[in-house]
Amino acid sequence: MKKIQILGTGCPKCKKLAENAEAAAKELGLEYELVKVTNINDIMNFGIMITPGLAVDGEVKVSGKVPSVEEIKKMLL
Amino acid sequence: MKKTAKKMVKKECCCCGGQVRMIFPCSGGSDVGELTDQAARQLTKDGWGKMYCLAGVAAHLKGFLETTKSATEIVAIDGCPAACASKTLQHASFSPRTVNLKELGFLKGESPVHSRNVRRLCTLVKQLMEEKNG
Repeated sequence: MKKIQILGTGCPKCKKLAENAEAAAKELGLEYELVKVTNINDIMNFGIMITPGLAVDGEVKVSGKVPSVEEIKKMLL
Repeated sequence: MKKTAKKMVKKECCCCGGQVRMIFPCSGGSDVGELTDQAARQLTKDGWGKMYCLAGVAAHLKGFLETTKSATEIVAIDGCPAACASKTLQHASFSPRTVNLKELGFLKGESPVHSRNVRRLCTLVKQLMEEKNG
């Protein structure tokens, strides 16, 4: 099961990233768990300074922007 | 005390999206290294950019690399001609705009770290970057 983590305190961009990530996982037919990491100290432990961020299985894939569904699909594979 | 520290961390270290100029000082052990560090912190406080962790990039930690990729401009401030900050960023495939303190007249062992020098360096960094951008 893929663990998809949305790193952000809950702004509209973070929500959009969560939507796109969920759509990408569904389109790929993946088994996944989507976790929203909203605590600032937990976010910083990933080493990112600009939110939103996306981590897959604990590895940061993107920071500071909202990738498209198609872009996220590539990150999930 | 703990609450204040958390608030400061939040204010200084995290923001949502936007245009970010990232500043990487070499933060070396000499006086000029310390000046780069102090100036990067001051430039961050001034809102000119955001100081970020060169060590995280050097360690090729994904979070640091991805955050650096999102920068609109990357500025490396090196204390001496060894240019460790610039080279570290280049090793990680980034193309920083570079400032070297020697070229600005700050010589190793002859550049005391005090607020006047930090302020002067900040002004020079801004001017140099504007000239290079222009």
